Amino acid sequence: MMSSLNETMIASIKEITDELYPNMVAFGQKLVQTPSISGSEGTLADLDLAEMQKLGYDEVFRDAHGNVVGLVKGTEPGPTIMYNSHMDHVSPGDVANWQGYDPYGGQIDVCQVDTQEKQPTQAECIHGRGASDVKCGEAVQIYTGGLLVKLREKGFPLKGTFMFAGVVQEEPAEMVGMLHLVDKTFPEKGLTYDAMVSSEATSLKVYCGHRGRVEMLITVYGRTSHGSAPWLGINAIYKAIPLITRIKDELYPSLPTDPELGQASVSLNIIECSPGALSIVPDKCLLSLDRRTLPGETAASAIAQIQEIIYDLAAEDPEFKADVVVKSAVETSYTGLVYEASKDMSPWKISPEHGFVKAATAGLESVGQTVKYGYWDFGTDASKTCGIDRKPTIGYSPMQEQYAHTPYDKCRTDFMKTALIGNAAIYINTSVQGPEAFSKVEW
Amino acid sequence: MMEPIQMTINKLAEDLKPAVVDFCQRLIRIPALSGDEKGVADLYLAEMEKLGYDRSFRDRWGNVVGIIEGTEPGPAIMYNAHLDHVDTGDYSEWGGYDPYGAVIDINEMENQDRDGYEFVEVIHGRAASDVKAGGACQIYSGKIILELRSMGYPVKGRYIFTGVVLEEPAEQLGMIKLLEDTFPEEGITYDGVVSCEATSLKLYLGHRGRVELKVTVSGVTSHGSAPWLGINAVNKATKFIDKVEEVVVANHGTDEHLGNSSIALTIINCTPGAMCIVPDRCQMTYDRRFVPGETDADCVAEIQNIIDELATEDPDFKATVEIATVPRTTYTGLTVAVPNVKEAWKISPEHPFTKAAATGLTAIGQPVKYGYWDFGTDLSVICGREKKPAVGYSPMQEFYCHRPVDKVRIDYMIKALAGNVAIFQELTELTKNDFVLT
Repeated sequence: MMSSLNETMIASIKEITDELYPNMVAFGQKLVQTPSISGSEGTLADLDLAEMQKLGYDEVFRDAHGNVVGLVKGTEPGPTIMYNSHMDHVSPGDVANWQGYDPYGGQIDVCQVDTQEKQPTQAECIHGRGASDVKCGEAVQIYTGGLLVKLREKGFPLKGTFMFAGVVQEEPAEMVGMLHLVDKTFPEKGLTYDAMVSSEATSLKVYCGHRGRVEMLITVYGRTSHGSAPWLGINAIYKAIPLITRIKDELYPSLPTDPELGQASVSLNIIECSPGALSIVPDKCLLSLDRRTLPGETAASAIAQIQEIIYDLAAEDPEFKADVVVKSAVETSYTGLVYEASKDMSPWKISPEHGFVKAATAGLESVGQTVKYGYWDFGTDASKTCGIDRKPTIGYSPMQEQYAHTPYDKCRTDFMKTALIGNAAIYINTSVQGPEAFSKVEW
Repeated sequence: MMEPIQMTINKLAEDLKPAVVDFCQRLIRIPALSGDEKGVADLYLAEMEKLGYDRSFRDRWGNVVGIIEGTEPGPAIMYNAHLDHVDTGDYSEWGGYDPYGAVIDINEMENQDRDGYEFVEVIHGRAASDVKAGGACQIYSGKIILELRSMGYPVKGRYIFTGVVLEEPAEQLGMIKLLEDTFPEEGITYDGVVSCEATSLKLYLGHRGRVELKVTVSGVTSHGSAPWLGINAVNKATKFIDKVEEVVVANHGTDEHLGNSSIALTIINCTPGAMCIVPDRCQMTYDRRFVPGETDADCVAEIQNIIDELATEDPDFKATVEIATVPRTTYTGLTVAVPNVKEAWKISPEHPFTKAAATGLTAIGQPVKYGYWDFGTDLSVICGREKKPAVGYSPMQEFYCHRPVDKVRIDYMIKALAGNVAIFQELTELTKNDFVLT
């Protein structure tokens, strides 16, 4: 595919990048220096809003759930491309493991760090919690809007709308921030989006999907009796054993495998019983399953598989009684909005042959970047945009997966610079595409 | 000419009714959860001193001991109560009664044979049936013996009251330390024991043993997204759980009076026990009940054999079994960890000790019936370890123990007051050989 970026435009992008780069790095540091654990992203959101205003975004706002949105409007009509970052991060854990770095220091130094292919090298990095998940990616995405503003000022025509969206509460993995943004805020504001670029760590590769995840809770029922007379009760743990065995020996081996995303799986990660006291035969046994799904599977299909085993066992044993549900959690945003959210993240995958991925690839190649594809091992909010909404979605990010959630959390500043150019190139070349680049993602 | 002693005993018991009821109420009004029995211990000591016991003292574990010397040599009989009680549970379950109020009213109560109800005068409150009313009666039975002695009746042997700490947690710490430390230090010996755990005025002759077994199955953690990289300890435990059921049910011991051996898996959990990680440990707690002829060591060996067998079949199967041990701290500040084991024990109705107790009850006009406890008591130490004879005799009723309807019949208390003394009179007539328990 040919890129729409011509030589003068590329030269201007690089020039603006050099101009913006020091401020972008300083902004990345400032984000790392601002704690924003899930549910307490308020101060960080303020920073994002102020920075977008400073950079000349046409419109910025905060929604009721605490998400922030900034828009840079093109000079001609076209699609809206959402650049998406989450504003929260996980706990730093024990500070003693941070090798002398302050998790909220945002310190810059030249240190040992991996290349894109995970070989050790020396490079300048920003250190601290969230540097690789996703504060440095967030800084780059916000500055991408700033770069487009400057490009527009220089008279280059721009199509469509660049949107930066910073969402709350990604880490708890129920997508409450993202769901509110897309399903409530967008309709209220009359906004739509046509594709999404995620800043989750990709080491400057283009990432095209991940497995889904469903947390299920099975309750097996029995009847209590005194521990001295177990024959008078029905021990719920004993009744759970055939179910555990069938999940392990029959369901797990039957699950599908995807050539790119790997295998679907099911893992029994928590077992508990109730009352769970001495001298009493338990009447409830609770099993928590971590089910990883592939495109084609859903929470409903995962539940149905368990339900089928439950029906089978109930047919064999009239005493067997159990039910299964998708787990949920109550999440409260920093603005005070409360959601009870299902532990259900959809799987998704987009082909490198999809028009949007091809356009993004061509854009990156036109600015001299070699494009490699990859897939995440973990889940992201792209489960909403591609998994549920079926909008074209890719990951493109300067951050590296291997540092996420670790005490070695850091991001290469040279990668940030590359990503700023790359983000702009992706926007410019995807926004000029026709409808085929924004066609529904299918599997 | 003195009147027959039996008549005097019954009369004294009637006379002491207001005093024993008042003492029982005062005991109920002082909370004494396990490890926090000081207030009740102080009250027992003060009461024994007031009543004129020849000696009373507290040992360093917080147990209380009171002694009444006979006028003639003879056996020493220990009357045993525990000082602690279980929690009240939620006050809203108490039907308007204050668990520590010791209110007296006329109330519906089970009869002795549990086949009908009677309206009788009762004392309400936590531990009324386990075992404060029993303890109050044992203390005032001592008062009757003191009265008999001062009236000139011959009294043989020695009456020993013991109130022990930490019975409810089931490791028998108070009783073990009383017998192992305090008695040798104080030069006290005993020949047999009467327990006041609930028997509805019957003679109770034994209970099953109990051991708490902890089994840990080990695996290897991995991320929940890649379970194939780990060994799930819960999945490894399933075969074991099945096998234990199979083996114990097939091999269970039976006793014609005490019933069957049994095993119940009462607690299961796993660690780390978080959603994103395959668990590498599965912990299980078994409540194993056994009959005389079986020991706690047999119960451990039975589980160890199953572990060994499964490990031979599956090199990834790794597990350990041990007897649960929980550290307990007395109100006097001593901490000890004791394995959670109670021996099974049983005494025959034909044993001279039991026969003498029955003779005593008959002599004062009480019908003699036998029974066995469903639960365990501190008598496991007496009969199970020390091989001394013991029976249970008590005004309290099993049905009301540990429940929010905790209460005791006052008419039964007066019977027990006399019954304890009548039993003492006959037990102290026994000779050394009569106290051998095989």
